[in-house]
Parts: sequence; structure tokens; C-alpha cells
Amino acid sequence: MHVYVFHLMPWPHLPEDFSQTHDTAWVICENELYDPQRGHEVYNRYLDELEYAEELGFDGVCVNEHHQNAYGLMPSPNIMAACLARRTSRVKLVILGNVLTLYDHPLRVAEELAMLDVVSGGRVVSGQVVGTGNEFFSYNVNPTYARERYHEAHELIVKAWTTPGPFTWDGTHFRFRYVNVWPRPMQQPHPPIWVPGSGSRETVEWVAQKRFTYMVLPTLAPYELRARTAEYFRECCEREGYTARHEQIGWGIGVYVADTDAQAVEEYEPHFWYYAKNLLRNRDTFQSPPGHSTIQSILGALETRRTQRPGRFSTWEEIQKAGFVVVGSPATVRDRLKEIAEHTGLGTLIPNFSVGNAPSHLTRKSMELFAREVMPALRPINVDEPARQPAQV
Amino acid sequence: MLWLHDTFGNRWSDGHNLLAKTHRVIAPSLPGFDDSTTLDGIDGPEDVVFWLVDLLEALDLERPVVLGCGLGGWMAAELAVRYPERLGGLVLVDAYGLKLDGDLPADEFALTRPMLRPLVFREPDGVAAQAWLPDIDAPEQMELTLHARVAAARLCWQFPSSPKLRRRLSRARMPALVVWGQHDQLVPPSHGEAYVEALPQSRLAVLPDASHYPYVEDTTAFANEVSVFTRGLGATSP
Repeated sequence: MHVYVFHLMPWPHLPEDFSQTHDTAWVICENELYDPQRGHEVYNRYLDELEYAEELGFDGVCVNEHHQNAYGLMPSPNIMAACLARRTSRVKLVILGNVLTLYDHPLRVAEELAMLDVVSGGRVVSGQVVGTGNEFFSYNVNPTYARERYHEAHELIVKAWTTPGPFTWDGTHFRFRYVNVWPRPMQQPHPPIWVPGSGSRETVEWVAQKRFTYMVLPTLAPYELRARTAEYFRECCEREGYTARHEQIGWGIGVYVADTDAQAVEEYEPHFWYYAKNLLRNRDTFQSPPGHSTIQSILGALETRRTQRPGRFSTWEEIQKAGFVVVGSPATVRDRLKEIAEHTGLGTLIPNFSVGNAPSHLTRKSMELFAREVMPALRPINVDEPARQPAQV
Repeated sequence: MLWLHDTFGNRWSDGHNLLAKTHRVIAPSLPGFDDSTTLDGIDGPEDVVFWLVDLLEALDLERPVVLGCGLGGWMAAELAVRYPERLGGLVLVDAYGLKLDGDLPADEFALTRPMLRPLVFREPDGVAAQAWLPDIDAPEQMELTLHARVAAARLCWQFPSSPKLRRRLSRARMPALVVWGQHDQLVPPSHGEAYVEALPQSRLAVLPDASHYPYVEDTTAFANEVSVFTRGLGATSP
């Protein structure tokens, strides 16, 4: 399997009493809590961690996109990818924005990703994202158009990459008399496309149909539910007339490795709670504005989301049991990840080693142990045969 | 009387009951609400105005009084400025629609029910408020509410107003009554004042015992004001 290091780049300096004084870390969480002086240190430390991933032999690094919040500080993932493009030479640059729905200029997305692809020598993976509900509040995009805007922007961007320009796009949400994107991407026909999702059926079905990679997101659901999503994705691929490649199943998950199980939990747990209690703290209304998901998806997920979000748990045992994270000694983490890989068929593992307000030395130590003592054992599992690769459309 | 509902959907209230004793009240569901399964082609107030014109023609309604609450009030005003000759009278109840500098309605899509209730009810813990806007809908109501929220957001997302409506109101020359709950903190009474200032033949009735839903919370005062208004229309019409 391939292993890509994920990063949220959260704000690690929220006040102690944040969860008592705030009902959300999003949209309206006051930006005076952000301190640019400390921010300078935080950004550079996080970028160093991703650069270190190349040195340690990981296959890629992932940045992502959220707006006006303390949870993830990459409103422009393309800027972070640009920082990394010139400081790395081998790893894939997985950009898990761009939130296509937010931009009235999808051509800007097509241009920037093509630029990054050319600068990096064809290392870009283009995440294409509907966006969390929060982003629709922060960017004043009407969520009742979320799905149509997403699909139209996606079609336009792929066409801009693959069809000789100039051509005209006279769509419903986007109208461009002249589509003629310079530069063109280096990877042909276009950079690989990954679509992260938290299990909405319509997204799973669409990704299977397009033969893209579906990344099962780690944040909102316990292991069993996520495993069912991977299973459903494989079913959908079969229905589309092909067997899913392992690498089409991406698996985001919090991972932490230390010398012993006890030490791992001791070092990881406080920072996990910072993440679960502060950064995931949110109002239902911001998470799920009208139209953002279909009514059937909402009705189906309502109870699960309400009761099983990590922030609703209070003990480490519950977190372990629900399988939000894999934390322990190298042997424990290795065995558990092998088990998950065999159960789900995943071929794209996306561990996040940095959690909440964890200090950099712990994150780096965990990455080192993982690279040395866990990753080699995962490499031979769920490897696709190159010949069977279906072309991405 | 054509009664246009607010963003939470088309629900029969005690206010409807009282007015229905003396009026023929027709309360259609706006596009996307209730059994209306699609919002296709509904992107803004103008699309609803054409839909309303079609409705008036289909029901053969001759110059009805159009009464609108919240979202419905905004749509009624949009209809009135474009087709004033089709309305016998206009009643706006705590209506959306106006862009007033520094006086934006609260964001109903950002607020949870427990946060919203004190803004729209004078007695948020009262029986009427709890029944009209419960913390969590009854299971059989849930799908309908989600459906209604999508239709509401289509038209009212973040800025439930048309910047040009205020200056167009001079075209709505029919008699108009503007009813506002004094305690409305979703759409503050300043919006009612601005409506009355701009509507040529209008009167403002501020109800001291109500918030955003006078037809739920102060039914009698609400029905009295509306009845006095419609009786006046009868007296002056040819």
C-alpha cells in the first residue's frame, strides 16, 4: 500500500476554558484567538513536519482546505502545496481542497493546480471537495446549490485540463466564453483525483462511477461505519463493471506510535482531547446547512452523527473501541493497520500523526517510529497490479 | 385572502383559524415546501412572483388581500411592486425583504432551535412557542421540515432581502397594513417602520405582546388588526 502523511494544521493555542466559553471553533469563533507571532512558528513547524515525511520515505503529503476556523489553518491549500513543491522533490502533493463549490472561478482552481503540477514535475493529486457545511456560511455560498455547483465545477476543470482550448463553457452556474487554461497540467490526461467523503451514498456512487479514489474521512464516524462505506464503495465499483483497485480506497486515520502501548496513550491522549473537545466543537447548524447533503443522507446519518462524534465521548476506552484512531507500540499499530487493511481492502493509507496541540517532537518521533517499524510491514499489503489500472476519465 | 407562509413552512395556526371565520383564507405552499418536490427554476424572488401570478390566475382570484409572513411577506411585497393592479390589499407580517444598513435580520440558518426561539417568541418557553418551534421535530415531521429548510435557504440564505425592493415600494399603491411583533429579534421592528415609510398607503400596527409570530403568540390582537384593515377595504371599494 501507499502511505501519505496528512496534516490538519490546527491552531494549538486555544485558551484552556475554550470548550466552556465557546460552542464552535468555526465560522464565528473570534479570530482574535489567532496570534500571528505564534502562527509564524506554528505554520513553519507544520510544514517542516510534512517535509520530514519525504525524508522518512512516505509516498506523499496531504494539505487540506477549511475557512475561518481554528480546526485547520489552510484556507488556501494551494499556497501550502506551493510551499512544499519547492522544498520536496519526490513526494506526491495531495491537495484535499479545493472546495470546488466555493469558487466562482473554477478556472482559477484549474490554473493553480496545473501550475503546481508543472512546477513539481507532475506530483500533484487533485482533491475535489464539496466542502463542510461551515464553509458555506463562511463564504456565503448558497448550500442548496452545493451538489450542482460541485459537479459543474468538476466537469469544467477536467475539461479545461483535457480538451484543447479555447472552448466555451456556457453552464448553469459558470459561464466562460473563453476557456483556455495556461499552463496545462504535466500529468496526462490530468492529475489523479481524490474525493474525500464522510459516507454520503451519492458521493460514493459518483466516485465509483468516475473511477477516482474515495478517501474515507476520519473525523466524524467510528470504525464500523467507515468500514461499511469502503464496502459500499467496492460494491458500487462492481456495479460499474470493474473491481476497485486498492489504491482507490483511501483511509484517513489518526495514528500515534511510541515505544510501548502505555507510553503512546499517555503521550497522545491529552492532545486528542484538545482536538475532540475544542477543534471539533461545533453547532449542528454550521455542520449541516440546508441542501448541503440530501435529505435522505441527513435522516440516515442524523443519529450516528449526534451520538458518535468523538467530542461526545468522554473516556479513552470509548475512543479506542470506536476505532477513531490507532495508537500504541509499533507492534500494536502494525497489527491493527494490517487488520484494517485486510478488512477494508484499502491501498491508500493516510495517517495523521499530528493531533490537536501535540508538540512537534512527539509528532516527529511518532513519524520516525512508524516509518521504521510499521510502514515496511504494510508495503506488501493490498498492492495493485499496474496492468489492471483503469484510465481515469 | 391569500396567506403566504414563512420559512418554516405552511402550517395552519390559530391566527389562520380566527381570520377564516370572516375571510376565505387560501394558504398555498410556496415552491419547494410541503408536497412541492422541486425547486427547479426557483432561484430568486422574481421566480416566485411569476409562480404567484400563475397561482392567482389558476385560482381565479380577483384582487385578493395578500398577507405574507416572514419570507411570505417578502414575496408578497415583490408581487405588489410588480403587479399592483392584481392586489386588493397587502398585509406584511414581520416580513423579510428589506436591506437596511446596519440592521440585518438574525441568521436563522446559523441558530439552533433553542437559540432561535427567544428571538422569535416573546415567551420562548411557552406552550405555543414549544409547539411551533420545538428543539427537535417529531419523527413524522422531520422530513417535511428538512424539505422546508432547503426551500427557505434557496431564497433566504444569509441575506433575505432584495437591495432594490425598498425603492420600488412606491409602486405598490394598494392599501397596506404592516403588522409587527414588538419583540421580534429575528426581523426587528425597524423593518416594519421602513416598509411603512416606503409604501404609499400603509399603516403600521406594532403588537406589544408578540414577537416574530403574532399569529401564533398574540392571535386575537393580530386577527383584530387584520380584520379592521380588511373591513376598511370593503368600505372603500367600488
